[in-house]
Amino acid sequence: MSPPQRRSPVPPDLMDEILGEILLRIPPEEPAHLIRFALVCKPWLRVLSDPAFRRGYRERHRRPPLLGFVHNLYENGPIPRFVPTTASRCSSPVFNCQNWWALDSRHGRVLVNRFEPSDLVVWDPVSGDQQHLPLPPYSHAYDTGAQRPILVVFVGTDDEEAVTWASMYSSETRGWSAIATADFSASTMVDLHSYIETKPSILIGNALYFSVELGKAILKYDLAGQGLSVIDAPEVSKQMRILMAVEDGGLGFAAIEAGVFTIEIKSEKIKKVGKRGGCYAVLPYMSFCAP
Amino acid sequence: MAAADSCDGISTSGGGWEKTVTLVSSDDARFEVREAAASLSQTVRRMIRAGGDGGIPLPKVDARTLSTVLEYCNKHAAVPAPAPESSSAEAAAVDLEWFDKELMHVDLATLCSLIRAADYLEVAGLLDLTCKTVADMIKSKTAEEIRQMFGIQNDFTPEEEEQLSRENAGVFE
Repeated sequence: MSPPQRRSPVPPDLMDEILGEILLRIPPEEPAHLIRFALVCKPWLRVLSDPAFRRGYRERHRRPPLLGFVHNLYENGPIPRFVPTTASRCSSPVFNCQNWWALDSRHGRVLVNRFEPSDLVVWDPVSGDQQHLPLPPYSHAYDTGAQRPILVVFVGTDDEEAVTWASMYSSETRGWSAIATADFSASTMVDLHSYIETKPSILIGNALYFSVELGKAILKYDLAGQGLSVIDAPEVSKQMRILMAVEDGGLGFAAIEAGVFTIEIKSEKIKKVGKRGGCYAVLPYMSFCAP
Repeated sequence: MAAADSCDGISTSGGGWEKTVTLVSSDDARFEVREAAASLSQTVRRMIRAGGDGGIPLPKVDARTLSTVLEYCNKHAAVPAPAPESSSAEAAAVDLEWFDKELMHVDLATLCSLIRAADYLEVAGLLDLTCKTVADMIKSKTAEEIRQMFGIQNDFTPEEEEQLSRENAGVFE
């Protein structure tokens, strides 16, 4: 039931006063709406591209919508790395390298490992911005997590030295911290030679959690104390394929053999967003997208 | 606490007396309203605290708009504190939702005046209701349809328009 509409143009000065309040309440799930509104006229574009409006919009809606996902698989030729789930400005990026691997996605950014040349890239799919940073100067076999100022945590295992370590990069100091090493002696599930999985980490409170060898244990990195510790997992299912739950509830995200799905936790509504599942690491990407 | 001259007393259906205040619109219409209802407006609440003579002047709101705002306030202030999960609370919520929907059955210009009034008077619930109503009306419309609705002139040059479309390629397909 829509309200009756009479052709009664709204006085421009009235429109100027109330436009921001109306646009703040456009739901974020379809970024195309807001982007299309930028074409109405210059005053509308001004409101939409005002940083104060964007700030207010983020604060009001709090939980950014799912715009798509990034996955790491080539099968029968290249598969698009960024798969949009809604019309937005995001598309697969150009990294000018032989190959790349998406490590993690958080706070509207995706962390990518570039190969040849090799480095880390913090990529914002909405703006297209890329920030390149060097790999940590320690021998490693893997991974991560990211904020503002950008913090990147890299966790690696050194097979020769049989040591698992972590180091944190800060965009403020533009350098890597000294390494913290993990003590595996108390663990009954994993040992010094266990590997860390190249799956996205999970941020809970002020700590990042990484999965170790098929989820047998969890590696915890404390962002404040910069310490690394090992937690044994109670039970392990080797067939476990569900990759992660989106932080702060709301929307779950799962990649299984049958495809890629989102699950609304409250209503248990399931929506298929990707044809092929079974990818090793599929990263849901959530962000606000404004003109 | 309340200003003596802007407060009268009226009998409520329960037989008790409820404090009222008088609000004066931009076109000098006077509205006598229960203080509890008028206080849904943070602006009015502050003015009641400050006190004053001969009613509370609201120079930015005309009588027609103010009467709709007060209809909203009277209805919403009458709702008792919700006892969650009780059936009467649920029925009251349904009734209120129906009332809100009916109240929004006005033309666009009236809706926009209501938004400005709710913003000025700081009636948070009404501001949200009116803005969401307009947001729902426009969210699936094209730029041209929106211009027609609001009587807006397209002030972009063709070049500017093309550049904006190019920047957002993929969204407008």
